[in-house]
Amino acid sequence: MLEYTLRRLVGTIPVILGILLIAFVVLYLVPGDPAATLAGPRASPEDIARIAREMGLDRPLSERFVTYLGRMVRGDLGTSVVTERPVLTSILEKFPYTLKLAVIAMVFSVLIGLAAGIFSAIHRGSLIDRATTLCAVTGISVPVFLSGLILLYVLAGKLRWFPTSAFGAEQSLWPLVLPAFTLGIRSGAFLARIVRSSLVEVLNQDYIRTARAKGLSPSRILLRHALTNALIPIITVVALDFSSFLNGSVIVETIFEVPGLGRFAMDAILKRDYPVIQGIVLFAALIFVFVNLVIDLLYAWINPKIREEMMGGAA
Amino acid sequence: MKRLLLSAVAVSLVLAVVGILTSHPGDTSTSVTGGTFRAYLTSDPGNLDPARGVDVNESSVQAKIYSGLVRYDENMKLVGDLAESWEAQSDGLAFVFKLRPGVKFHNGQAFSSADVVYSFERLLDPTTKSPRTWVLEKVVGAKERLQGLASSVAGISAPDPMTVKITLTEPFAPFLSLLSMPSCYILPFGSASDIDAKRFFEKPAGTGPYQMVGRERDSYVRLAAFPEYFGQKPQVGVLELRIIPESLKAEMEFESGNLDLLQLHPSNYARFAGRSEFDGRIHDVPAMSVFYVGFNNLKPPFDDVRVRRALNMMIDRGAIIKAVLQGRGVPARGSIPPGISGWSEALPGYTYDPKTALALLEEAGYTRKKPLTFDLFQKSSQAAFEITRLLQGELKKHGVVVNLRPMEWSALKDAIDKGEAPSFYLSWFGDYPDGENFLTPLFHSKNWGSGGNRARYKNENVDAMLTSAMRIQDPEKRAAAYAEINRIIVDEAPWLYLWYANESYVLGPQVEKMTFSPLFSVDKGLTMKLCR
Repeated sequence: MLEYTLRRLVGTIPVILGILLIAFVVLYLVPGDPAATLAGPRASPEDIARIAREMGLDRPLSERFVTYLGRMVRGDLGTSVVTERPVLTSILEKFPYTLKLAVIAMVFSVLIGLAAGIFSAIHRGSLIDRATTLCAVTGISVPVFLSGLILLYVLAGKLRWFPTSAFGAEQSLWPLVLPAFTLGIRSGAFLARIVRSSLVEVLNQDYIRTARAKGLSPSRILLRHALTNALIPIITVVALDFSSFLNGSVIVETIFEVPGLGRFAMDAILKRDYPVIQGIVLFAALIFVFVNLVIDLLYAWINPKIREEMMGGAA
Repeated sequence: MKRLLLSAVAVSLVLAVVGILTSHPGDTSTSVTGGTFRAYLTSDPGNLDPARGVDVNESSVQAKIYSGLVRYDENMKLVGDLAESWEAQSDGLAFVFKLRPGVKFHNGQAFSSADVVYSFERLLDPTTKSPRTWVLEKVVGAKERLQGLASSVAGISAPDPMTVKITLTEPFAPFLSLLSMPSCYILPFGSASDIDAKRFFEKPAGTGPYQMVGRERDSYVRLAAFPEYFGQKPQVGVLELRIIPESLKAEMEFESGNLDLLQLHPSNYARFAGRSEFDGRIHDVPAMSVFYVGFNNLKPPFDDVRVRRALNMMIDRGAIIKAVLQGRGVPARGSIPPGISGWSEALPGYTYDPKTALALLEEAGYTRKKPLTFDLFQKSSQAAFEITRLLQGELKKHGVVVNLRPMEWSALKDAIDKGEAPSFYLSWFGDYPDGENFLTPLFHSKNWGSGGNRARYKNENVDAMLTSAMRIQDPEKRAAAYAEINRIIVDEAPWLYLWYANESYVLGPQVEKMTFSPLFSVDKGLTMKLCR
């Protein structure tokens, strides 16, 4: 198992290098000059050239990539060209907000997804199942900017059950509940669909019929026998959603004024703040790779069959 | 600091007033000094280094923290700030400033001439990477310092602790106006040097009416009145600036009573103006700005003056202002807005005259069968679309085909500065109320592209006249010179002139009064007062 983990870790290195290369090249190809953006609306070409020189943008692309890789390897994410603050400091400052938001959103997502999915699967084919499915499809289809604004307007603006913004979220988690709910319903709705279909598939298996014939209680059958076996696709969806939440949600963070990573990334992109964009890309890549690794290990833990294959491969 | 921004961005800064009033036991008056004034900015003021900032949100915070030698007051009058008085010598080639005694920085440091010399030399230090070095470019020795050939600036000196002398390479009448800009704000000597610079700007110390007491990036900036401020004291105790990028969100916060000042846009103006509870609380302020469609004067079809003039006559500015801007604007007769030197009542500009316009187009070779067709570059924002779609429709009525090319801001700026955009919808916000600010950067051929002359207009006569006008010391004669230059440029129609727009704000019920100036982005925050 340890060897497998190590092998997987080593395997992520080319993936991360590839992501860094793509991020670097894409930034180079995108129109918009960081020096000109920094220089503002009235700056002579000499001014822009002077700023570009100070930023090292006059160097050949290959040289810049090597310098950049070297810095990344040493864990130096550089300094923002706009704020002149270390990129890592900023990321670490923003991440707690995004993390809190992601965790609460995931709680909503899992609660909604499991409850609705299990309920639907048990009552499959019934009117209730169809109503739940309709709700889930609506939840998936409504874009976050719309659901966010509606929730904000109704629950916070009109009914005043929640604060209208996450302003002050450094002191308490309460202001993050509504934004997290906004994120959570969408992924929860999707999860409900996955839970339902996985469960329905498992519930039709022979061993479930056997368990029933043995006279086991329905709840025991459901939780112990059916759900455990339906877990793999569910975990995959939950984990991928979680890692995407961890990279920040631009829209929810903007609507609810959460000072998290998503807004930070968006601002950096609009201002062509290369070091910040590259730093965030690296951070996001690391999160995805790490979460994927954890999922794989979880699969092995849940499913002995996969574990045996892994061991066999590792031997 | 010149601002060419699209309408939505231009509307960036907004102040609002707080509801949380501090209690004053025994105070029975209807207004209080103190309390928290709640405001918002549309993006985080990322860098509070005055030498670096080109962003309106950064400037608005800097204006409250720092002071310059001079500033414009609420009536657009140039007054002393850290300078008590000044004197122009040798026909405007040198300025001697007498500094205000007894001024303290927020960190306790006493203010003296050394701080002025330090701040100005720092602006010109190449390692500061300031995009605004042009503000001091006419100072003797500025070029040498900027190129790294000198370690100090010859033209800036401090004969004694309360005197600063600045020598220019040539007379430059608007120089004092330029000194009012945020780039020329004064920092405490030595504070922002080297490694400490970054730490210093996390919680900067200036001599302004407010000092920073707290901030959370992308969330808020909290400023408190500085008790030892040398000027008229702020009438509120705390100024809380939240960062709210989404205008709909700001509106909701205002409606919920969490903000007490909201900037209004064409899309929500009517909604507020129609409600009796906001009677007398909506303020329309001429914003010292001009909105326009720039033509690339080098590229066909806009290298033909007939085409440029014809388009100027195809737009009924008055009707559009009424329809889209709720009447909050004035048809542009040129690039200089009313009230700025060089504006002339006698210059009519272009008026709606489709017949003449069509005749001109036909002369230039365009007919209904072979219509004039061009691309209009713009920012992909709703505010920009509201205008460009309307222009597109108006011109279509006269057989002109406009293809809209929406782009993200950095990419748009790139395309325009490189001359790739045949026409573009933009605006120009003045940094100081002087005709020079609305002519030289925009139409002098040395400023082609990123320098401000994005239309790539070139008239050697105009270039020469602009250069000689800046030497004229008599304000009236200089205004007359700008009026004449403006007339010549308007005749050649390098832009499709649109309008001088107003900015509008609505105040919350907690605000007793507040004055808005056309230079609101560098407002010192001294006029707002809360009621009990």
